[in-house]
Amino acid sequence: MGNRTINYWRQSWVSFWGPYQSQTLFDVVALLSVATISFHFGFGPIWQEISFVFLGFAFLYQRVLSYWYFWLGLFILQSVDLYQSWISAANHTWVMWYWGLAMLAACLFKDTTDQTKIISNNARWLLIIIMLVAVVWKITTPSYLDGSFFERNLVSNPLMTTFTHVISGLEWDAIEGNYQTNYQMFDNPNITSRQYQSNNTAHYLSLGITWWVLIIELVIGALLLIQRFKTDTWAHILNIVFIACAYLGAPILGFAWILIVLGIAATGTSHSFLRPWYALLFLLILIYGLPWDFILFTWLGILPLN
Amino acid sequence: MSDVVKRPNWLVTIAMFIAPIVFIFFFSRQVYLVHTYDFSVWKGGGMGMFSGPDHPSKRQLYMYTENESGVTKTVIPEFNDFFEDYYNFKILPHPDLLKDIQENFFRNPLYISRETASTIWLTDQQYDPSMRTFSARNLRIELWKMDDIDSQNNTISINRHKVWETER
Repeated sequence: MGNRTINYWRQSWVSFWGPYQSQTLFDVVALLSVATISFHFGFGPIWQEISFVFLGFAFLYQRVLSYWYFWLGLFILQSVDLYQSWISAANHTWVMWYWGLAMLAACLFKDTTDQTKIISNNARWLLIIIMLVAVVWKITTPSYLDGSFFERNLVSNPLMTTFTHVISGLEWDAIEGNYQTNYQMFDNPNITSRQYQSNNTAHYLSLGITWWVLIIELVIGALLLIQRFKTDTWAHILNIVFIACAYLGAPILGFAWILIVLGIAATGTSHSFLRPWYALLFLLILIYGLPWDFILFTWLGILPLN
Repeated sequence: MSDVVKRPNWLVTIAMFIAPIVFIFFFSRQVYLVHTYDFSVWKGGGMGMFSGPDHPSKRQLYMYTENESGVTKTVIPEFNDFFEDYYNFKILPHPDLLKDIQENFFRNPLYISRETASTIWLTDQQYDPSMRTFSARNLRIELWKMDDIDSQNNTISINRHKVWETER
């Protein structure tokens, strides 16, 4: 990596924290987008290696981030992979694909003000729709609204059971019994009903989480729709709180990363003071990814090893 | 002279909304597939995750066939192309995917990798020369879902949603 490249990145990251500059926002968002797509799109085996080539170019030759054919190449890679797996692809994969298109569109324009307008507006509207559409699905599903969906997840979904065990005190034996219920659920179609284990704390916790998720998603989407300085500020603060809390319980790193990228891009010209908080969120999400079961069991003896 | 060519404002406006427009298209498509073909709400790019229990892992396809002697057996497809079709059909029970499964089942030579009194494991690849071919007479596919959660009694229930039957 040449001195010019190093100096360029140093300047970009230094000015990222300071007063607003169009080019800086675009460069930082572009690099974070490529990293997010490379690590968390969920590419198939060959496409994954090719995506790392894109990431390598983005790190070593920063100029490529402003070339439309760089983003066209990455978007084609995403599209081919998604075309092959669209039935089973995760939702954050789709969001990264929508976002790849927005980055490509921005790079078709040379003017940095246009580029910033394009990425910040696309990010704002993607956040609005992600939040509001998620609310629509939730309020139209009866087992979501009565809390039963979240309760069953809290006590039997391996992504959440550590959290439930620590907060509600539900015995680990009971959680392992729930895992067994999951595995056996379809073993015999003649047994159509099975019991799972929970406790009162997990029940009330699930009701709290159910309504908290619904309300915060609704409020973030609605505040971003109003498009005023104050409402945008609150929307970003709530978005940061939402990401910090939601991915503590359900550590789906890809979704957390792309929401952070969208949040940074949506700060646009007016909310640059919030960018450091989004950057800190990246670190926090990385900390979430540590093997906490192992750490808590081995070092502190709080959890049984599962 | 600057080499920056300023593009028209209407192009900038379109570019400013390109991602949400595409999102709304795929969200509408997902709503259509969910309501018409029973697509899993967790999939399809329309943000239905964590909205309800209809995750692909909470769906199951039971497949049954009659062997040469007329005995009905449960079919377990193994990990190959056949399995991928089966997995996709579980998430999106669309007629085109059903046709793929039926064609694979009746046209391709299938091999028995293991067999018990009630179950038969089928693959489309002959890993071992001793594996014998299997000729199916019919195929019955049932889609079951875990879609009832009773938090008063802490119970979950599975229900049969759809059945497809095909003769050779």
